[in-house]
Amino acid sequence: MASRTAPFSSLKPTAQRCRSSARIVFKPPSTVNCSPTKRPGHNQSTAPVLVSIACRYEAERVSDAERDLADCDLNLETVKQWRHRIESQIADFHQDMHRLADLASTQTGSAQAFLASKIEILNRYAGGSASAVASVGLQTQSGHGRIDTGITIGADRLSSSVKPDDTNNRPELVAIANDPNVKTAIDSAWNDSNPNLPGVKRENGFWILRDDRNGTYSVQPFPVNRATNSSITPSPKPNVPGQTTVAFFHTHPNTPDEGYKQKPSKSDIQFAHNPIINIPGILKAHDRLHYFGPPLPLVLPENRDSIERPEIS
Amino acid sequence: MTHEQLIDLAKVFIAEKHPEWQSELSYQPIVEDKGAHWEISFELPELTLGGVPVVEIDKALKRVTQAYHTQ
Repeated sequence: MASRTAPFSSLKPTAQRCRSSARIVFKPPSTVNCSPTKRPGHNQSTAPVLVSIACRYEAERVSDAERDLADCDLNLETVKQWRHRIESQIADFHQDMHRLADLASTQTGSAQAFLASKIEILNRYAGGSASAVASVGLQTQSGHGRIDTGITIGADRLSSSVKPDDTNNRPELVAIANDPNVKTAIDSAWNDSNPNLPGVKRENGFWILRDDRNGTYSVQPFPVNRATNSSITPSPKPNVPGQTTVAFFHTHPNTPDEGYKQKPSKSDIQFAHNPIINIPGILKAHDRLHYFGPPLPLVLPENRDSIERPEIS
Repeated sequence: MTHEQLIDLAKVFIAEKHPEWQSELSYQPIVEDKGAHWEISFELPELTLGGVPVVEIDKALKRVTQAYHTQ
């Protein structure tokens, strides 16, 4: 503001007097000439009055200009503050974008599975209460519509029929099945089931575990000595520190020509929904991969803060 | 038909047509009313993945109309 103020010496003499008396800052150029014009024939006694009027007018204009300047300075400060806030938010977004890019490039499968599980949780929330999903009277919401599994577990036997879960629309399980480690294990288990060659067929399977730290998947095979061509008794559900058992897999090696259905059986679905197990299942049959059971357990990655969008106020 | 008669009919049918399925006949049988037919199946032990023979018996015809195996 000081730089905008004109030097005192450049002011006209009358203005100097105005400034000295009024203690104001004068800002040229002025449209009013404070200097009284001395013309021959004019009454000399009117000169002090004219000077006084001119000075008062000049002082008012200076005062107005100073107020405007103060307003401008205030506005400039506000703009600077807004610019700082916006630049800060842009920096945050850039940082967040880089984190997401890093996550997507290094843990694509895990990120997809995590996001898919989030989507399913949201769908479930939108379609019904969580307790309804977790209870024995199951309802699952998976994309195209609601599927009532209709499972009712009685004291000694099933009291009603079981409709299989939607075995197609489970993107979170597709992502797991496509994980390189899991895919290799699926192919190996399928071949070990002897699905296409003469001889004894035997179901095969494994638990699928997810590392809580880095999101990688590993498997724990079911014991093959407790398997037949149409059934298998898995080992107890793994409880490994630092890892979450997220799903299980098994094979259906028998063909339709042999009189065997390809889809999940009642026992398969009951197993997945059993409170002791309570994780989804993947099975490979001759027609395709089938997906069934409850939603994936909620697994938050350790670096979950890096994929949550910061709230902008 | 009584449940016992339905179960016996299903077991006889499996023994004749699918003898390779007889190993599962020792499990607890389950009879379900499906409207036009009865469905006879068997219950695997808890926490077992797998399937069992399923036999459908038509109510009007009183004979087996379909039999398959789950897995």
